[in-house]
Amino acid sequence: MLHTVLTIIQWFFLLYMLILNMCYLLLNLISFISISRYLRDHRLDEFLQSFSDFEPPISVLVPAFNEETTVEATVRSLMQLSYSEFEVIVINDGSSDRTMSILLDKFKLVQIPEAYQVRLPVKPIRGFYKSAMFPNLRVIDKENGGKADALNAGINASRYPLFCGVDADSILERNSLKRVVAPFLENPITVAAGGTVRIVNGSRVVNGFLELAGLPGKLLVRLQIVEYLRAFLFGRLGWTPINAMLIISGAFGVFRREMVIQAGGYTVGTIGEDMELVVRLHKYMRMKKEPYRITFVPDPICWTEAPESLKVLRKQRVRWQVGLLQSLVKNRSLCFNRRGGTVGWLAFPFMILFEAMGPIIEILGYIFCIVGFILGVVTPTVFVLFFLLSVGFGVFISVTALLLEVISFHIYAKPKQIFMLFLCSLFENFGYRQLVTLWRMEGIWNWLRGGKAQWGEMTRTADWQQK
Amino acid sequence: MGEPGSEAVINLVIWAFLAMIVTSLLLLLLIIIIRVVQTVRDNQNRRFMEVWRPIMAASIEDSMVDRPPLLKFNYLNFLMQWNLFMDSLRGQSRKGLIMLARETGMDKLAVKLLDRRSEFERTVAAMSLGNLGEISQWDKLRVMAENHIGISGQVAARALARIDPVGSVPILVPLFIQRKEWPASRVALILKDMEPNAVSIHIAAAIFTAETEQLPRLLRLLPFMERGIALQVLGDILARHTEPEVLSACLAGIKTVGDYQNIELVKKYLDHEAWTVRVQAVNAMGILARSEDLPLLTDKLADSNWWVRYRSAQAICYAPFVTQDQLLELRDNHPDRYARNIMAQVMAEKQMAVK
Repeated sequence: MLHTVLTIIQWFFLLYMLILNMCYLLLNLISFISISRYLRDHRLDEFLQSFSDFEPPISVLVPAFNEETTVEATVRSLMQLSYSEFEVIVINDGSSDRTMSILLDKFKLVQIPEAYQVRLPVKPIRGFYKSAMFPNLRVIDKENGGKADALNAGINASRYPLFCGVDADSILERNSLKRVVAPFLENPITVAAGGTVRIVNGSRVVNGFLELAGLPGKLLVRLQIVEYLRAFLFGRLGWTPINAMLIISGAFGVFRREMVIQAGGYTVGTIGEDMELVVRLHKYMRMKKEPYRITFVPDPICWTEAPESLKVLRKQRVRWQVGLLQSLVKNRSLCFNRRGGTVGWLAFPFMILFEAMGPIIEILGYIFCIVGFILGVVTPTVFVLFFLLSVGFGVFISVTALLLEVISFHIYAKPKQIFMLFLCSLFENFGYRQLVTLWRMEGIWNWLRGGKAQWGEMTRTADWQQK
Repeated sequence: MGEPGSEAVINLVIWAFLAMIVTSLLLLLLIIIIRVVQTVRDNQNRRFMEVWRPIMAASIEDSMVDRPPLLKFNYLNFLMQWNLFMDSLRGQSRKGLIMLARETGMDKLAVKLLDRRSEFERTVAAMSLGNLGEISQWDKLRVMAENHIGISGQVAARALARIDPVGSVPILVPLFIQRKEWPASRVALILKDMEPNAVSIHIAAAIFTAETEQLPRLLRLLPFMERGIALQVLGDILARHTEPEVLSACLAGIKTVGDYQNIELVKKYLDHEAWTVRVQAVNAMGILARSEDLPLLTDKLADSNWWVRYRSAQAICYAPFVTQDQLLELRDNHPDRYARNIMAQVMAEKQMAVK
């Protein structure tokens, strides 16, 4: 009897791992097809530019909380974006450092009376400012209410039909708005579009723009680069053709303003407000039975700083896991809903089974092997088998992501860089992945204890930045 | 079901592991080969640019420019670069470039490429033939515009517009209506190449026969029509339709092509129940209004919708017939609090813009 139970448990873990990796490989395959189509279509873009009068104007929203080290460079780079009509709204969310004074000083802000339109409830506004240097730059100074609250204040104040949420530490490509708006021009039912985010550590940034992409010296950051390649090149792109992408990074995403307001704006009190909004938009549109598209632009158009220490990385991963769980639980009615479509019947269950519960099952697997080995009911062979399979799939999937990157955008162009990333995809299986799983487990634990929303404060080095 | 620890399963897992690692290594090799090929190609492109860009630039002024032989692997590069040059030029200045393309045999190559299987090559060919004004390929380009999905169909449509700005109208205007997937921004770009007088009648006919849901999209094309015809169309549509989306599009059109004679038409919609219509009416008033219309705009400062109030305040603040004293009076003494607030905001914005 015990023997049968043990066998069933072992098969459960083995099948779980196989199904998970098969799903990843399927997403990978879809991504290859999608990216080939995307490259084919956009290679021809330069032959038929858009008539700029028809580009929809955009409000770029930059929520900022204690961003004194990066806010000036970020705003300056945003002011140089290449786009026909846009405004930048920085929302100072009650920073306790010099963020507001830097903005006041560097951009010659003047307080103006603003008849504020409160379409989404937000914390009290202290003042509205307009730049005397840049007519399309405004700053909202408000009481601290969290990132979601700051973004909602920005949505209330924005004047254009599309808005783009940008993190205050993001580095954008000069034509990023043009690229991310393209899906809205090509398909009017588009309600949201996310851009690809890459890691800026190790690259050279001059005057707020990326001049040369490079690999950072620290192994920890290199490992994260491989993770980002996987997450963006097929984690997102794979879901896009079936309109089931559930995540648009808060670092860079464009939304149709009216749709977001109708869906209730960003949810204050959630940690992963970016993912939660996208899941809710899916739910809102599906329940209304209205045709819509939430899409993804694979061009690397936004660069962000990755944590360089284990301590900061741990905080980030714990926060991401809590955010994921909050988003899924809050919108659980979408799962297997009659009107849920590909989101409700594929992406949502996938997220629950493999992303939300993944760490629990993985850790249970490790515990089972270790305890079973100590009690003498599991042989070391079984443990080694699981590990070999896990490493094999891990390396294979990472290398295919690397191949996708080289075929498409080849940011990491030198053979040495490619070889380094290949080694990272091998090394990450020996300790790093397990560590991330533990942190994600901590996230689950925090969520069970009722994790509170707070700004994702991160110690920034910004040593890639040159004036 | 055997145990995961059974010999068969062990063998299977080991083979699977080895297969994945070997495949990964092969993929790594493939990645490196791809990178080598990409680097060689990038270097070739760079060398091509260094040599041929100055030649293309010089040929705009002087048709007798010395040039090296054009190597076969640079043919597509040439056509791509040549098209970009052509797009940045107008009229006579294109002649030298057209001569350069003919002398290098690129006109014949473009004709050949039009029959290739590769969509990329066909698209480059269509663009080139359009810029060359190659009427002999008209029928093939027409088939491409009518049948190809994606950007190649749009490029073929633009080529037709460039080859014959009048003759292409009866072919292209119906396509603009049928092909809903063609972005309005690209359709507008093609329309810029077409003859407004010829376009007007066809767009007007299309608008008159269009379904209601198609109208907002078609009405965006009004700026490309002859003004008198556009106004006639607007008057007719406004008289026949009550849907807010259609009315908004018409009022936006009046803002672009209308004059003071059309203001009575606009005034009728200042109190429409849909704010989207009211805001477009106010926008149009902002362009067309005269001093005697100020009371109507002043009333709209107290509208229930923020955007209507904001646009009214902008219309008033930027109107040449409103004095500073009148603005201050409205800001300080308008009976409605919301009106006073919005005036204060827009006046402050205007003051900053002046600085």
